[in-house]
Amino acid sequence: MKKLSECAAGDRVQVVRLDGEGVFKRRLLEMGFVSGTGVEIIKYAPLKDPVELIVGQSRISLRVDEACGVIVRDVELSVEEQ
Amino acid sequence: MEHGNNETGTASADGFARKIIRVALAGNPNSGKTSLFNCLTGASQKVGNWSGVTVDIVEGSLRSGSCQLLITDLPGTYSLSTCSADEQVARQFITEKNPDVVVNVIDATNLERHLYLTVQLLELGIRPVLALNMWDEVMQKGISIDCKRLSELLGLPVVKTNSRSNLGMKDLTDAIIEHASRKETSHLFSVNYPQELESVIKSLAQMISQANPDVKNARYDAVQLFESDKEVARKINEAPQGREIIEQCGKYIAEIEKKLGDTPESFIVEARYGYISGISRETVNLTKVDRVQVSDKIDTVLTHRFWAYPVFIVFMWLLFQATFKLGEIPMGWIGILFGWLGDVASSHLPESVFRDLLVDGIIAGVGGVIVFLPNILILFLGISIMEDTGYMARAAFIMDKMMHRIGLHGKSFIPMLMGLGCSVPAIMAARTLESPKDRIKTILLTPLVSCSARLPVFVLFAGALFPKHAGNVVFLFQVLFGFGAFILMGLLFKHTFFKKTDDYPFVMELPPYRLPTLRSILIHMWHKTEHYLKKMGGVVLVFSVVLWWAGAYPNNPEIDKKYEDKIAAAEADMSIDSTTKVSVVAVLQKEYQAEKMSQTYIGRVGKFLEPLVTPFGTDWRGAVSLVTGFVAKEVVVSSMGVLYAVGEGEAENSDGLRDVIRSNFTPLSGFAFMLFVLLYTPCVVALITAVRELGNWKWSVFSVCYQLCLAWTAATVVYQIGRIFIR
Repeated sequence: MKKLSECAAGDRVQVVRLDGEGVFKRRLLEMGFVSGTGVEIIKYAPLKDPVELIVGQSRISLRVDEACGVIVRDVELSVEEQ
Repeated sequence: MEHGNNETGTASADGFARKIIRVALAGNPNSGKTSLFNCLTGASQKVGNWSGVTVDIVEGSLRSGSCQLLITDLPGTYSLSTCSADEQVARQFITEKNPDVVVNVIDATNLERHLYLTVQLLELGIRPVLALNMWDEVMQKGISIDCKRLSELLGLPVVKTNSRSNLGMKDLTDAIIEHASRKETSHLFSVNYPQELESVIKSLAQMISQANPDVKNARYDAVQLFESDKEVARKINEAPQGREIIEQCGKYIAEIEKKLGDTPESFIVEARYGYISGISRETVNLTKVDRVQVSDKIDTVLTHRFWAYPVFIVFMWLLFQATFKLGEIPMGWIGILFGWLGDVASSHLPESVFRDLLVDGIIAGVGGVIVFLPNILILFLGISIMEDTGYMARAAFIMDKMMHRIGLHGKSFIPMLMGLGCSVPAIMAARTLESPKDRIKTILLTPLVSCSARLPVFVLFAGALFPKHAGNVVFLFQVLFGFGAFILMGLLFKHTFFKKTDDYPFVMELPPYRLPTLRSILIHMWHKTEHYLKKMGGVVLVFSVVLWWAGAYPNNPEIDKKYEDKIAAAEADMSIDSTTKVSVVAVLQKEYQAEKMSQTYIGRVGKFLEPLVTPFGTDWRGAVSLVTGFVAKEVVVSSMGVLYAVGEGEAENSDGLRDVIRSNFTPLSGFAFMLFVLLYTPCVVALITAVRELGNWKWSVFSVCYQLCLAWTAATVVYQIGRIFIR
């Protein structure tokens, strides 16, 4: 398990849970960051922040310090686990 | 906005009785909801407003057979969980105004995320008509959606639409009319939550309905409480036994968190998505999936590590030039038109107070409002194009890091940049920001960027007091100090008033690039302009008339008489030759103007304020000029021309005025004066625009006060410290 902000462009991961609370958590949940959802890291902005992602079918961007609150795991790992 | 009761009524505008159906369009941002709305209602739209918040609700109507559809376009929202003003408005509209039919507009290429709102609507007891929009992209991407099955599973009418090609508009209207005539089944929809959660939801729902048997949907309220919904919590709290229910809910939340390792809201949202993915599995089939889309190709340049910025700068340069340089042309026409109107009125009306009011107050005031229209139209044309194509989101994406340093959002860049031209359209451009906090911060900071009307003041002072470095000094004030103040105050706000971190996360959608339709861009542009005219126009006009009145009154016949006599005496004086006579009369004329101005209400206010301006080395004449600067910053120069020109001979041309400035200001006091001009409220139109756009009187008062305080403090500190070094 790692933070979404630690992933590199091109990684494919899966959401495990969200750290954080209030509006932040609420909004991310609603945008589809629920446990088990696949996330693909497309690219970081030219100044390394924010980061562009595909969550489910939506393409969104998230600030790096916010991506810290998203705990993910590699997809391959989850397949092995199953 | 008020349509009276929720009964369906009849309209008979053209003599035919029609059944009125009230329709609300709900959907995510970027679902194409607004363009669908434009397709349905055409030009029959008007921008409404919702109880003071800066959320626009647009209404339009459509006739179909014997029915009249009154359609309301709700703000685009991802959910109905009242975190933002938009969501609150959308939910309140649906629950309190009880529209006959809710149409849920869905981007069919991203079905799952968009169905989230649908599930929330269903839980709320609303049975919407689903409009699967962007059907052309569904076909292109090779996605197949079984609409019949989707309709069966959800028990809702489903219509394929495409607002770009008008596809499905007739089907949608028919579905709306049919849905409206159908008697609602009182079936309550609910998602199945994990068992542990289910049992506590049931027990809380029971508590709620026992405490208040009138509650229609106790289960919904219970779920909302578990999701920490503030609106529902407030409502429950006011009802009998509210405190106990909320307390019990808190205990349950802690219990669940202990047992399942996460808050109930996570499981609730997860369960909704689980339900949706079940539906999606049965109805959606991705036959061929194009990984590399056109959007990605465009993004390889537009958000490229290196190329992103040059391209962005070019776009911004174009936007700026178009708004202000191209805008100058129609602005000139407007100036000529209103000048001509004023001349016509003056020449056809007898000299009277009414004529002065009409010409100098009303015509000039209306002209002062209209003159900004070209700027606003062009700027919003540009912004609409940027938003509708999807570039706005990319611009925010590449600029966010920099803007976030000073506590702003990537999108705040556009208002900041436009501030260089004129604060009025710049403040309006802050509407593109979704979070109210970002919007407030941007509106507060934008006027600090030096607008072009401040340039004449800087040019005059720099030319007079720093002739060798005039260009550099002007650049210093116009560009460096303006942005410097923007950044410094941004940092200050970030660490003081906006310190709390319950901020919106920067979850910004990057929609695929789309070719916008001309129609939707034009409608979008018109709405903003209409908004400006309606909201600002009246107030600006009133203020212009008041300022004109304060600058022209009270009339003092004694002064008029005194100077008339003096001038007559000079003209009759035989001891001086005719050339000297002309200059003596000119001097007297100027003295007359200056004394007249100092006698007016504005003059008196200026004189009264003299103790406030002495700390930064200016006298009452400077104070009066600064007060007149509220009309527009360039007026400061003309007021100074009148006030300081006394007895100085030829001062009409700028050389003369420069000499006058030189003899009345030291470089230091001039510098402090320029600093004050840079930082205080740009003008009355900008002030009113900011007040209206902030939509909250506390922030409005703050925005006025802080700018004056900042200007005064900066000017005084510079002057007083400077005096220690420069003797």
